[in-house]
Amino acid sequence: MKRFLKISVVFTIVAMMGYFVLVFVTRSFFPSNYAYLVNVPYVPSGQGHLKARIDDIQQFSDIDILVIGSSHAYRGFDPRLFEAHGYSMFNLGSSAQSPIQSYYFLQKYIDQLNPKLVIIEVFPKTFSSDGIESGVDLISNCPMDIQLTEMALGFTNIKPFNSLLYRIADQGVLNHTYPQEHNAGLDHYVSGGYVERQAGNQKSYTIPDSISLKLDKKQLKAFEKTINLLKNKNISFVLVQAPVTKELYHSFRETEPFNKLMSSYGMYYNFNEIELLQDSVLFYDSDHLNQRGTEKFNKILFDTLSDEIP
Amino acid sequence: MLFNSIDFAIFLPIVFSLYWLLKRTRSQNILILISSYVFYGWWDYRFLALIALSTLIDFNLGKSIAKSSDQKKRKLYLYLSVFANLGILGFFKYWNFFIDNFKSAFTFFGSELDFGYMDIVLPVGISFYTFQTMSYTIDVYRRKMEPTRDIISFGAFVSFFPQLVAGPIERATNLLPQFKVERKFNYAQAVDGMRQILWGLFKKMVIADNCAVFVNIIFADPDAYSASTLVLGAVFFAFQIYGDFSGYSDIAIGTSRLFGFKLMQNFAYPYFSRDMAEFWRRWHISLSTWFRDYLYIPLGGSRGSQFMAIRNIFIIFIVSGFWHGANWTFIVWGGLNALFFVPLFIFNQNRKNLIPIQTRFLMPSFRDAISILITFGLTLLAWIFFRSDSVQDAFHYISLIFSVSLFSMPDIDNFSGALLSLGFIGIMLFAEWTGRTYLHPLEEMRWCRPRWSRWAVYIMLIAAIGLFMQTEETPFIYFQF
Repeated sequence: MKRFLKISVVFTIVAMMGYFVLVFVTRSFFPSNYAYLVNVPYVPSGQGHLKARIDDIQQFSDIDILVIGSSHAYRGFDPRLFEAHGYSMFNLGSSAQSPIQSYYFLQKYIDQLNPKLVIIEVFPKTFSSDGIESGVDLISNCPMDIQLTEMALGFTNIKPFNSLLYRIADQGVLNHTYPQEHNAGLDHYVSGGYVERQAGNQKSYTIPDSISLKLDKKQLKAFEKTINLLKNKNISFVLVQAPVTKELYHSFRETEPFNKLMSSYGMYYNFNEIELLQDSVLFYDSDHLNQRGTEKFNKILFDTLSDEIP
Repeated sequence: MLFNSIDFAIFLPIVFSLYWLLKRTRSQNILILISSYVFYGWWDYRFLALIALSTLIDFNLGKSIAKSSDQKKRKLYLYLSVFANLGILGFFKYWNFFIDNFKSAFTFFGSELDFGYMDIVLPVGISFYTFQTMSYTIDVYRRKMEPTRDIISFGAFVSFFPQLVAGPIERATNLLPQFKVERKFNYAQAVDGMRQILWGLFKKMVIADNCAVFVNIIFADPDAYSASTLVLGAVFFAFQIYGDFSGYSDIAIGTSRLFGFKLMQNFAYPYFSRDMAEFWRRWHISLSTWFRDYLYIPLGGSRGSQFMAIRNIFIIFIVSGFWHGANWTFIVWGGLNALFFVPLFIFNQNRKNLIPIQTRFLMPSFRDAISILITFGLTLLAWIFFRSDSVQDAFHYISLIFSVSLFSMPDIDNFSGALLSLGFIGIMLFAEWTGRTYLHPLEEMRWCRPRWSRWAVYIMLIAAIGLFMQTEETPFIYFQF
């Protein structure tokens, strides 16, 4: 028995090292077009411009407004429009950011940014997601620390775990760096965390007849932790559901219970109920506002929130 | 609790450590009983009562059978046991099927029946443990074994967690005595058990789960695909069900070995069979032999007239099909296999291939290779019925295969993924071919020297699982049976 336990322990250590090497070698072997075939969805400096945002954030402190949330946040809240009214803003949105990642960001940057108001963009689908897509985005682009490691392991899913291993080998051991281009395709990164896309590039999209919003318990727990963190630090916050196309919004089932739930946490504004923002020319796909849409949305948002901004 | 889950990865080492810390056999049995109930209750604790009921009924009836010298009484107790077990199974598994068919029959004759379906949840593994516990009372009745007076051993035998939910369906004569003897830790057995678990996980998580992705897409809408893609879909299903079920059996047998138990082999490289008779000696062996011992032979087996023997063959294949699920597709699947088997029986060819294929040569002979391919083709045809939602769907699927697009390249999204899955199937077949004389292909690794070369293979298999598994936990197919 002793021999079995001893060999098991030694094998476990060797296997962990071997696994680490094989994850790196296999992922490196697959051309990026075929990287989806292996469970290492590590993409540094990818579409959501998170790397640029994380590099950019170092310049910001003591701001008026912090925005957190999904791509609706970083494509829907333009810091330049708020600056025009005399408010500094940083947009810490990221692709498919779910409450788990929002909580991670707040823990990490709240003291540095010290915002007077936090706008929490609440997209119902992120509450019903497992958060892995966004988690991998953070693992690929954020500085390595204990919280990031905890988050990666907390998913109990192989994809974030493998991505973390690959990240350690790629950026930690081999010191590869991936500077982010501010202009990528149709997108342009604007300092302050925003990503601009001009109108006129509307993509065709299909929307399922009905999308169920079964809320994930882990996400709700993380959301409550986020609210409590802000309350403990006496920081004001508002919950905002950013506009999406009316077809997408109407495909969501259980919107009323979601609205009710959000209202129970604090001041909540759902901009999908506003007729002015339902014109499809304001969007470049089913979800996201184009620049013209953002300008219109931010104007209405500013008018709505002007009493809330300290 | 699934074998391919984090929960089990935590559960197993805890139970293993506690088990070998205990010195007394009875304490170990108590631990196995408790662990098995925790393992099963993880899925749905409400159905633990069913296992407990089945255990108590057969424990008491077994004693009553042995105590009674009156043959009529003995038979009555046996019938009670069979009735209770098949009653539980019939209610949970077949109630709605029978209602559906009664209704259809009465509607056909112009009358309406007004009793309805019930919202019944099928308890996981019910077909396995009811058959296992029935084997006990039947063997006691046949005086093949003495009844046990130890309820703990018997409870542990019925609910033994490694094989509780998907077999192998053990005979009481093999497994129950193992609960009564002192078990000593055996290093070689434990190490080989770990190898078998690893191989089972590879087959389930890399082969079966990746094949399942394509199978689900292709079988959901066969009209959308070319004939060659449909053939590919059937091939993927053949390896999905093999990887899934034999993978489960390997994990079950390997886990049992860690605890000092020896379970029967359930799969013996069935896709290398040269005829259907050999296939059925190598596929789901514990079920085939169960039906042989407890149904085919009591029916008369191959004794008597040829007509009666053929009737018996059809009965066991059709009952075996029906055992899998309450759907006509399984019955047709069983009947089809009987049809494939009967010609071999009539021409006395069913026991031609009793020894493993070409054990002394690296490659099969041309004749054997053709036989293997034909046998695989026949199983493929039957698997289409097994996988389809209805018999009509299966016929439709098969009819679509006969078109000129059979000679085109398969046209499936994620073609690279399909190629990758085929590559893994190739690796599995190579490993199983080279290790076909062993209980499982990794068993031959014990001869590899130096140690690092063995470990390198294990680590590559672990990495393949981590890199290519599907990320959502996928239940084993046979859980639904």
